[in-house]
Amino acid sequence: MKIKTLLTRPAITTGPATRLHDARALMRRRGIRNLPVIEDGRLVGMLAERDIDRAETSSVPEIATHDWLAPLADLVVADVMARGPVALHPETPVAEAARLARERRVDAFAVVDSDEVAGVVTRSDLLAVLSGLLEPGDPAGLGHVLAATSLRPGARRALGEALRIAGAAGAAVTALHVLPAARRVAALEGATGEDVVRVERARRRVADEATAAAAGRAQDVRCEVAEGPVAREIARRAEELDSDLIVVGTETRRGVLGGLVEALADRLVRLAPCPVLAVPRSGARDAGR
Amino acid sequence: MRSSPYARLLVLLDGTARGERALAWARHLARGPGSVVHLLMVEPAARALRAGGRTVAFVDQLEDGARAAARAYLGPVAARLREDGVTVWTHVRVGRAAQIVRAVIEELDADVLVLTDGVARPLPLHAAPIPVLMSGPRCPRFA
Repeated sequence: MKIKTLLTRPAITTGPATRLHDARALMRRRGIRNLPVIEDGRLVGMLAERDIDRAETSSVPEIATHDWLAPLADLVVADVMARGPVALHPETPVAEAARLARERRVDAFAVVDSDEVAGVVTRSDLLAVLSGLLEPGDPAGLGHVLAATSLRPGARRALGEALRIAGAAGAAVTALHVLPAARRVAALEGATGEDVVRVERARRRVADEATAAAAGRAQDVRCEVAEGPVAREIARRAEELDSDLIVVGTETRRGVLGGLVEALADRLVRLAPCPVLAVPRSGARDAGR
Repeated sequence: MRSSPYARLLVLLDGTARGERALAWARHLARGPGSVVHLLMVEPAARALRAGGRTVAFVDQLEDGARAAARAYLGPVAARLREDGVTVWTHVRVGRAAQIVRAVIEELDADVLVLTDGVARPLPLHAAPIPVLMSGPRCPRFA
């Protein structure tokens, strides 16, 4: 697991000239205890709530109430921040971050990607991962979401849901389109180049669909096309990608004898190495009412 | 603090440890401000119990007993979630699971239904009006 899956997004930062009073108010408003300090777009320090406490008050009552403490109200972030903070790359393994936190006694790391602060990882975040590992039933975080797409109506909604969840968790998304195995067999029998054209058309369509759904979001969607039994292929790829969640659209259809064909989501739940989120097609909720 | 993708999560429980595995994901998805987890248990409608031609337990008595047992089960489960900072409400209903789950989804305006495979599934996945999060038998975190 990489620390990019633990990041608080978007990164909440402050500047060195910000008054301590304002920095503390920002921390309280956003429910955080550490702020990366940015100057000219670069990380120059880390401000912890504890640093502010130390600067603003004294544990000695006589000093704490003394008049000369008044000028402290004019302190700015640069006066108390920790300079030269340890910064990590988003691809840093969680284990490596935990080792550094222990060895260097760091409570929070700024996570920097291409000189830009991408977020903060705290000791509490790392402990949450440890807690998840010790208690296997407790998912520590979403690192990867596999969205099973199709060319049927409603697939876009499933992909949108996958992107929404992944966005909230900072997880990567793969959109997978699986062509049924029968077409592969037809291709093997050399039925013409029609099947190749169909594969290419599906590849373009799923890529277009993923791109459209991802428009306006700061997320990369990797698009893949596979062939084979659909549920098995999705489950197999989820295993290979170490996916934490599969998102799939639901639908009903009738077989040749008129009976309801078991939906993909129902088959997938039995095969999947991770939980499956079955997303109804748009309007299903209203239809159900 | 991360935001949650869902504001109202409905978790269907059946009183078993297997069913409680859904709580791990509910807890995870409910992280962040503003999310509420609703725990639901559906007890089947009771039938009057007769012995020797006499009614020894009436429907309302049996259903009251089932409700009380369900509440007694849900209380500690909800308390554990609250300890983790999750806002939790519990609901006990009597009747047919499919109808009740649909009604509760509508009543609570739930965003997602969370359950473990093996818990009596109230309705097929493709018939659910909202997204359904389900972990199956091969899911190592829940096996």
